[in-house]
Amino acid sequence: MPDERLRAGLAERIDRSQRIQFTFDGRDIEGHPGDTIGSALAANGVSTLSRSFKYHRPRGLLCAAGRCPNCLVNVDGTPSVRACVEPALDGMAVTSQNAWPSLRFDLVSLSDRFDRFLPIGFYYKVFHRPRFMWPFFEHILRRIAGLGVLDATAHPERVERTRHLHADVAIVGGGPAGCLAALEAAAGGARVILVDDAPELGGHLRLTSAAVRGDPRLDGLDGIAAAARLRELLAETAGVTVLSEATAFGIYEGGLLAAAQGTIVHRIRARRIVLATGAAERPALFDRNDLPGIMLGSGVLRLARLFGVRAGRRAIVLTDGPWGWRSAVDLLDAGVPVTALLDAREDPSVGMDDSLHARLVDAGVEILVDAVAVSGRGRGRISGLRVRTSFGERTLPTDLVAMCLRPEPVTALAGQAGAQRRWDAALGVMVPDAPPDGVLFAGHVEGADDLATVLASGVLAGRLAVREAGVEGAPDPAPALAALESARASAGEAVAAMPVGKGPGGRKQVVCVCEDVTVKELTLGVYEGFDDLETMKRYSTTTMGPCQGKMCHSLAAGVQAELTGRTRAEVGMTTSRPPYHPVSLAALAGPHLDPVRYTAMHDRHAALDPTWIDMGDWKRPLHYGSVADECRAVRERVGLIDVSTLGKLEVRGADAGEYLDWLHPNRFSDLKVGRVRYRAMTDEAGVVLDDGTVARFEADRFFVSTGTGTLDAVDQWMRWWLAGTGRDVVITNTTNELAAMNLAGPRAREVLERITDADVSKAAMPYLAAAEVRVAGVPATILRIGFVGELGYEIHVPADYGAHVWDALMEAGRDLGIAPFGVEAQRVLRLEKQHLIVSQDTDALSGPIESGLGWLVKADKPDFVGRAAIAHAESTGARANLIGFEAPGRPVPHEGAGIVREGKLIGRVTSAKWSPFLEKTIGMAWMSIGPFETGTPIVIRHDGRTVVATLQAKPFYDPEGVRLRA
Amino acid sequence: MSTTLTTTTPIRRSALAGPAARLGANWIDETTEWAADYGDVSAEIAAATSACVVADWGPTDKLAVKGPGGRRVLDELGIGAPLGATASAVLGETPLRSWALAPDETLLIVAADGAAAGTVTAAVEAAAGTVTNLSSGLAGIRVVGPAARELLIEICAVDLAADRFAEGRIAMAPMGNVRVTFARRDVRDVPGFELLVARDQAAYLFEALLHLGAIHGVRPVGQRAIDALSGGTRW
Amino acid sequence: MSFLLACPICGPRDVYEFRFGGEILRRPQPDADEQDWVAYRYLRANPAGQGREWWFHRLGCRRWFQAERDTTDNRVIDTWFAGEDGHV
Repeated sequence: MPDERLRAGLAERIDRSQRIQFTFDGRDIEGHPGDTIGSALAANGVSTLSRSFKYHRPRGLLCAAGRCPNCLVNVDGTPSVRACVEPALDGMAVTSQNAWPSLRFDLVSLSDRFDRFLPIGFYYKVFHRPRFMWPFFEHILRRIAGLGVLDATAHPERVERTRHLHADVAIVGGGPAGCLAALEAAAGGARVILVDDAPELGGHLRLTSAAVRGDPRLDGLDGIAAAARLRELLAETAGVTVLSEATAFGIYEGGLLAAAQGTIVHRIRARRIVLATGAAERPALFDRNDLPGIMLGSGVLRLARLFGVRAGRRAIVLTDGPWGWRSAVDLLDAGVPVTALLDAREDPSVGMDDSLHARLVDAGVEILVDAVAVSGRGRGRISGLRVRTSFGERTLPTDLVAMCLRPEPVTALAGQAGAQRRWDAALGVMVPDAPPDGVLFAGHVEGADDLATVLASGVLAGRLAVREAGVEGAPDPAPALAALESARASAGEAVAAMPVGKGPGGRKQVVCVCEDVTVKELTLGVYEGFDDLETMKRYSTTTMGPCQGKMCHSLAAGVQAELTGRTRAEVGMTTSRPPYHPVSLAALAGPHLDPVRYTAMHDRHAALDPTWIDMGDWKRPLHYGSVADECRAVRERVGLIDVSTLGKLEVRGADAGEYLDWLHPNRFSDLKVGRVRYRAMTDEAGVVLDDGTVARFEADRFFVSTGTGTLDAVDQWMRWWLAGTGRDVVITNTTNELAAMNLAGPRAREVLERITDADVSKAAMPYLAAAEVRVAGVPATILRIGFVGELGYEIHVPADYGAHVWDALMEAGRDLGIAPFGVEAQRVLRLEKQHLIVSQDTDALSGPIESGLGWLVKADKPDFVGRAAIAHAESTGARANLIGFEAPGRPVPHEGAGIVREGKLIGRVTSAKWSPFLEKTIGMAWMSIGPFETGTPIVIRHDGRTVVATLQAKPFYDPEGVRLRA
Repeated sequence: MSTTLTTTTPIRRSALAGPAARLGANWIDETTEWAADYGDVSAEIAAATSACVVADWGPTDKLAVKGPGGRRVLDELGIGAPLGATASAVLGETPLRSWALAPDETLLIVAADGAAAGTVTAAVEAAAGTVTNLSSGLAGIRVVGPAARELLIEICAVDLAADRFAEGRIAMAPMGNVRVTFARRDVRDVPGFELLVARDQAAYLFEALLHLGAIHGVRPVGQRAIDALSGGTRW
Repeated sequence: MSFLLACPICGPRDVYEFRFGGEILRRPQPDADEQDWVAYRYLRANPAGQGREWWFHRLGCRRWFQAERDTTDNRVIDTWFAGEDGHV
């Protein structure tokens, strides 16, 4: 088995004394603890890791830093894991994705041969004519679309977490600028959070043997030692929290920075955010530039330095500036054999460090200037690179191409924060313009590539950030500013990157590796009229894949510029949006924190194993086994229902009565102490918002009940009307303080008498009486109201005693045949009385007159909420539209079913139930077109057939209301 | 007509009685269904000092004192608190905790069955304020332990750092998507917080704390452990 | 949206703790034209820029207050409790 391990190096993260083993597509792969899946595969000579999205071209490691899509594999069932950063563990089962039947022999790669059928925007052009063929093609396309396969099994052991963190200064990027900014900010007294996506801090310094110059703490050390020194200094510094292997994926309003660390999402609120996100290399454009074995130079170096892996044995370095010569020397120092260096410039002497030149010559590296790559040769892996120089073309043998073009500032987060990007002609890259409020930039991201400048800018950013964050005693940033200016001045002439254009030519110059978009396709797109980068992006899907433009944004912009004859400054960049890097939906959702609300009697219901229903957050018993039995119990004996979910508000104060008059179409200021009255509340559009009751217990103390789902809105509404008015009214929400139950049925009084010393006779407590007494030894508020149409008592007790009182009633009523009843029975019983339910029998346009509550509206009241609207409705002829109907048998029409006459819709069913007591279908309907008289037949559409019913304006049961006044 | 059903001592049941029973709680007594312990008090105390514990705090009585004159009256009775903070006090023989939520709103958490409620109510209403009994409406949960902040930052976006959220300070904010009124209350030198949540949402919050807290070593404890930790300064 | 809104009692909090209560409006006189009422119910200035509006601290202190906010960048300029003249 080929072994591509290098000798042990200082910076490596693997433990060579131990071995681990995992499988890749069934093949055993050996590695060491500390390896990533990608590094172990590379050490074993595996060069193809995946197949590309559209053309299924073989792909291998490209960036080796978790930024590109080439190494997405399935690990133990989890799809689309980035092999190059995922730690390899003993026993893992790793499989390739997006290849059929296998990674080596992928039949779908035929699409590469037949790429003319899959041009840019192909789904607008092919496969849908003739139309009858589309389902056939759709089936195939859906099967081959996508990359990974979702793991549908539940993983209860995996708990996604959210953490809310706070900082004076948050820093993104753990390279030298970010680390120095963190040290300075902490030294200035700030609480600092440093977010870095690598397993250890130091950034690119960890990879290079170049000497560091520019900060007294690091001068003279080589990159690897300097990175270690930075880590030591940070570990000793109080006030810095480091989040490693955490990717900052979004900046949002209010100084909110979001970072994903495994399954944890950190939501960080910072007064100041420093973006030290660095600069990254981009691929070169030439034909077949996506062959396995063609990598970014930093990727090759990372494999060598951190994992001791040689990605190839005869590397060619492609570059356009002195940075590439530095990279070539770094590669040699790391043990990677470099055979040639191609510099695209005619004259590479600008910015040249002669010692680098000497090193390369000594190592026997062939140096070609004015040289560019034209095409990659090889099947499944690169075996030769065709190059063009001023002398013509030739093919260089190679198994590894290291693309070391000018690193470009990583400005995505800066863009998200609101910074514009501008073209810097001297550097040949896009750089961020002025930082928006609350954000600072530091390091390579600003465009400078001189290390001394980078270090100085990190120091300055840290000083400025802590001062701007308002930390007391923060030191003066002026000296740091002077140091930066001095570093810039001595930096020497900048070398511009070679411009990106259409490339040397060929069918497969891949621009977007995620979406398989080539220069040829972009050319076709421009021809078709997509000359703006934003529209070209959407048409071609360039930058819309897993890498979100990290590999291809500048390539796409450069190609677009040349194809449309514009400058890079004119073409610009596309809008940056979160997430910068893919985040799972589960991580974004966080832990499953879905509030549930339980009444005080919940466990009593649970013991009877009811069928539950969710009403908003509340869990309520729908029924306990038989709705018919429960209805019968209430009508014939006595039933008990838990109505704790009803909203309850205590309204007190000298102005309370008048205030309730203001909020309702009827009056409450004239409600006698010890009485309860129905309430229905309207908004300024005259729409019924809510109904319930109001009881008065003292001149300045009222007890208001609301609907279950409307309590929160009513509470807000009532407080809003109060705000700033100076009215003497105090509102307290007692919904949770009181457990409530409705004891209803002809024998209800008998039951209640057994557990209270209070006089609950008809004389002492008639219908609509309200009293504060003691029941079963605890204080209780009793309202004699009758939603279900029987003698009934709504009993409210402190919730801590709710279960106790429930038990007492059930015990007291046992020999009288008491039975608990649920929401469904209650709905049937109230429907028998035609008692409306707001937002079931009314909707967002229903006024009180139309809802049959016209009797509530007191025309002689001075102003109240909704008065003008109701008056207007009345003057335009509003009348009651809500009316009952009945039918002799089944089916029971659906709630919402339409009522038709001569093909026109004249109404709809709002409620409909089977009445077990009356043995017929009953319901209520909203009729927009009359006649509305009792006896009028109506035709209801139900499940494609019709139900004939008859309107009935009076309650179906006890229309005179004798029973509930007992 | 009445039977013994009107005279037997009513059983007072915590909002957390359901989850506590499922976790094996022993009640304080037959008519007070609050967890005294979960079977091993010393293990409960140890968890509070080494990891983090969650305790149902009660039974307590709670009085919402509102109206502009309310604060003045409470200060005169010696049971006020600085605005936005909590304070411990005693009224007559009854210990209590005073929570000054707003200039016109204070919440008093009072030892159960104290005579204090009557005294406070009379004094406040004489000064044209209002007192509303919320004894059952709010559930009290105490979160105590070195890992208390690590747990709470998973459900709460308020800055709880020790040097940013002082001892006694109050905040009203969502925790796990429900509204909580809470205060920092260290137990001796062990970090801690007192949470007040609407009774109907208490069981959900309690179970969420235990579920998310498992990784931090969180466990439920009863009153006896809290009393022992506080060295008698529960109030 | 994640901007911070400074509740007069609780201090700066994430906007999702609050409920937006609409633009601050002047309620028409009871005898005003139906047209004035329709405008009050349905027509809004909806400025691209600074506007004055109501907010309710739903998950915090549950108080109503007023705010001035720039709708183009969600910068909250000021918050205060309503005075008599500010209320409808």
